Amino acid sequence: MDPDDLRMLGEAAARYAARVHDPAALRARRGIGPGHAPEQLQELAAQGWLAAFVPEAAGGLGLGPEAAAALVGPLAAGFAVAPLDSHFLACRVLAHVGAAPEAYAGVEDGSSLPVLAFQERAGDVFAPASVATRLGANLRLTGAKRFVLGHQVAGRFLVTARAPRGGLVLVEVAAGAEGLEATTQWRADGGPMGALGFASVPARVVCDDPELVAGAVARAVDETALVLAAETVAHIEAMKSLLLEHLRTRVQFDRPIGAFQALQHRAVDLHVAALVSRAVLEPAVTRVGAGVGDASARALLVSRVRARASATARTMAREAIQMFGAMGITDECDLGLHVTRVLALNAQLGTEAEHRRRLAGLLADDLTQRMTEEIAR
Amino acid sequence: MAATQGAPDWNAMAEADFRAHLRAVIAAHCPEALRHLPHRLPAAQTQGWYHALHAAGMIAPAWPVEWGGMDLSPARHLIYIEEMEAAGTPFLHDSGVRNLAPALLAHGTQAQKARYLPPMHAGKHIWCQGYSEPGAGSDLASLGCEGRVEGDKVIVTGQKIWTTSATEATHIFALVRTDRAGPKQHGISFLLVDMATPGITVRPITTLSGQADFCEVFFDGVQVAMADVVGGLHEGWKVARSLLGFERIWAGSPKRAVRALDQLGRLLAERGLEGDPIWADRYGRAYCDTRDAQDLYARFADLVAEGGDPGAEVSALKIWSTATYQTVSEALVEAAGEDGGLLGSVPAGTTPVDVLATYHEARAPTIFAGTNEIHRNILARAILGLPKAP
Repeated sequence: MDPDDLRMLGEAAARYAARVHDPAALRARRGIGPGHAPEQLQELAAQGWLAAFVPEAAGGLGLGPEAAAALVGPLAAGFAVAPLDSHFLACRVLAHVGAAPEAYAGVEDGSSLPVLAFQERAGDVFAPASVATRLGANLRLTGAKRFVLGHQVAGRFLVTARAPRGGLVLVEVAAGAEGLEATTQWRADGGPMGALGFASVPARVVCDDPELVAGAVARAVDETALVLAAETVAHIEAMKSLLLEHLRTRVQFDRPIGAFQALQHRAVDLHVAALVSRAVLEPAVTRVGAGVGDASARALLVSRVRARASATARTMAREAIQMFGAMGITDECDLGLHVTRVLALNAQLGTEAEHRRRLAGLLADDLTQRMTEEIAR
Repeated sequence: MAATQGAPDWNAMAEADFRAHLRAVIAAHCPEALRHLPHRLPAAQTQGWYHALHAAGMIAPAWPVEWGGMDLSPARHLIYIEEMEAAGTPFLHDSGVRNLAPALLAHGTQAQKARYLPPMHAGKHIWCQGYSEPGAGSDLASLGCEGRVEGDKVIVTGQKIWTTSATEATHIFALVRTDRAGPKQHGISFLLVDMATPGITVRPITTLSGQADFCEVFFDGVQVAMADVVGGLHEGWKVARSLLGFERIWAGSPKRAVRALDQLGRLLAERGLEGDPIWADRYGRAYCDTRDAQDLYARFADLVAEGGDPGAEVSALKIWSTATYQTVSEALVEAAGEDGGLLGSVPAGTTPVDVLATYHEARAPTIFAGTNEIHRNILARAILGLPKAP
């Protein structure tokens, strides 16, 4: 994507985030509601950011991970990302299966957003083979899904399921369909996470090519994981800024505590880690946005980025809380808003450990192959 | 003076042609036996390659054309480094070309340039650097090696340490204390000294790796002409600080870590450990740390290629790359199992690996070019804006 266009998107997102940022309102809506301000959906639609990820053939802008990352980073500063994350994930799956323009009906104005439901238990992000939800010959869906992000704003759900012959299919279920039960669990930051139960729910097939469905979900998950990494890096930098401000101004033993070398060196190590996270993120977004490499190369890259971002966010949260002292564990300290957001993010679309497992497996295969080739020579 | 007639305009060449030219020269003149070595060889073993580069007009990438340099733009200079690193060309005894010349070009007199640059360029003079002292390591400005001014001479008495390749060197550039009044950065002078001058003694220091590249250099009433003071008497501190931005990213090059990672991968595959859960994870972490270092390096390289100055922030690269090299080298020793405790090489695919050599080599980069702790102090003050430590 053109760097100037990306910069303009980022600037617009930053202006929007600054306008809507309201820590008191953010705290007040924890544990209730859809996980964003009431007017957020209309605002996102008005900015054109909902239609941005709809393919051009379906009347949208056809933008991908680069644009999403450019938006999400600045939006994170105002805690104004949701439901753009779940929306991007669903749009990418639809784009990758080559869904017809009708699949995007209601997206542009936010009146009916598609939401992806593909996980069934913790740790199955990269395991499409474990899908147990079944589509009957009568086109009725039976089973359950968990970790459905954005379920409270869904107009319809895109659900992965087993076809009668066992192949993976992608079906669409209306949000108000009979037999569909949605329940809410609350994430670390007080936002909602959906669980869906399907008791013979009428469904429409979006794609019945098992390889296409698996490939589309895997690619969309990787792209969205990268966007989550962009949000994570924004929170890493925000925590760092709060920490540095604290180190410069908090006086103990007659001097700012940032004058003590023991804390300076810890702050520097956090700064270096933050810098590495950004240095790793940005070229990866460009590469994945341009569709460079096969699925393995993409997975390797995304997992490396996500592992770095998640680990750095966790370390930054721990160290920042420690250096804030008791203030750091109070709810009135804004640091906590970032800490809890990062806890929610780190658990979504692959924990650090899951990304490290996937990456380690890919690298081991690569080493084995190189050794085999050497022996052959 | 070196011939400049007919030297190509390296910056005007198409990038692909420039790379192809570098590769061709490397392929033709740098023997395989000199490639991808962890340590510096004696000058006698690398001089053939040095002279080939000199003959090709390619020994001094950053120098101006009038002195026989390539006058590469920062972007081209980085490509030059990239190609050399990719081919694994050996470390040369080129401290004069890389470290002294920028100072001479910026602060030297015309006579000093004319006298010292051509033989330095031709490899006839091999220079070593006399900065550190037993009592002045990280706190370099507290150096005390005495330079007593007597008429048109400076009489030097004292000691330098950690002087790389002093046994190979024909000349040393040294910082000495010519004035003890005022702040410690003042009163330091930058001298050019012939190692054959009476009163100089060199003692090699053997390191844990068994190499004796480091030396102590003792000065006992060594007479240096005032004409060999660079940048003015007592003004040596600013001369010593005249390295350019893109040269400062050299200390943070991830190439050592990349080589160690390659060794680790080959060793694990050789031992059939690549699929072992513990080792797969550890290799994955080493891989991430190293590739992330490469991404960070690329970020700084892009910046200087566009003519920017990375400033103090480049310390972050040095910290990350050198720490990564250590982590990977330690994994390497452990991956060898019992063989990791034995001297010598272990089989690892195409090329055997001396894991202990890599381990020992990885100790120095976190210490040289400013210890990583000094770089943390720099970042804390200059980048994070934290108050001065008590």
